[in-house]
Amino acid sequence: MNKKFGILILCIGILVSGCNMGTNAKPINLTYPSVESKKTEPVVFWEGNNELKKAFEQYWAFRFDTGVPVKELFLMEAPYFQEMVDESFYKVYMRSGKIPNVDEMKVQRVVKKTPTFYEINLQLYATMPDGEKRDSYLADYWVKVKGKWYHVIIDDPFFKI
Amino acid sequence: MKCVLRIMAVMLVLSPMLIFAEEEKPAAKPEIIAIGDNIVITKNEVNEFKEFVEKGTQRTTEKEYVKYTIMLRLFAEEAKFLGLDKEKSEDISTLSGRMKLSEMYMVKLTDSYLVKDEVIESYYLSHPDMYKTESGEIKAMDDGIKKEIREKVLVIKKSSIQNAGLERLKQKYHLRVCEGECK
Repeated sequence: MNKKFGILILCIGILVSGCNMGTNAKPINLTYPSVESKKTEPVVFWEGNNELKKAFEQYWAFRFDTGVPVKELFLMEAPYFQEMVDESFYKVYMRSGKIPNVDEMKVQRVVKKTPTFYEINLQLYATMPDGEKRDSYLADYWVKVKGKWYHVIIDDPFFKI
Repeated sequence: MKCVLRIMAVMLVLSPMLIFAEEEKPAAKPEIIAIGDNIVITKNEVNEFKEFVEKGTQRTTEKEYVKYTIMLRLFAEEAKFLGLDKEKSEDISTLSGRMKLSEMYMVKLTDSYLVKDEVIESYYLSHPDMYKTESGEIKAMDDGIKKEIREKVLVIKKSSIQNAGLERLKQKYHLRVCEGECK
């Protein structure tokens, strides 16, 4: 009886520890402007918006880590996007090209367009699988719906929405 | 004896005619494509739809013609079952009747499709520039805006709503698509 009980406790322990594991993505080298440069910028920064900062950092870590299931990323997209875009199509978009190794992601500014809609400008420094160095600019968007921040893909010709 | 010889001569003359006379064949049964509860969909129905489509510039694969023929028929059957054809004017045995009935069912499907609040709200909040007034203020999300966003969603979802409806009706009518095994 005691042996059975021990096995049961062990199984529950394994299940509970599995539930707490979550998805761990490789950390991404995200950098932010120094306090001095922020003062000179005519933009609002995070404004204590820690939930947005957390969601943003997690999204970009997921985006460049091919070990993270695309589903995790898909669930971070705005609800209207999840409704209107087929998940398998999104998977093709996210994982079929060459995934670069991100050397640095420099957040240049965070613009509060409305209280629930932010634009984040980024400079991305990456190394492609063939060793080529790339430097690109990105405008990233975030929306807050029912208290939760979601990533927004806007005007991407790949998604006709 | 003479009589027997005469009969034999006549038979000799007629025998090639008898041999080559065309056998009277029974009318060929149209090939069955799918079968379900009180529903039999034949190749004729597929061909009729294919002919209609190809009158225009569109073309598709045989598989798609079969799929859409089945969809038209099942949607039409369901429209009849639900009494959507209030005037009972549409004839399910004709292609045009099936198309009209099918459209009625599609309207019912889209009308009853649930678009969640957060879907509508997230679209509205993510496109502030679309809802700006001339003075630069953002319009409040009223029923008109909600309706407009819902319609955008439905346009994009049309095909998946159709497919889900088709699958549901295939189950409801126990429809079996024949791949050579239906008799």
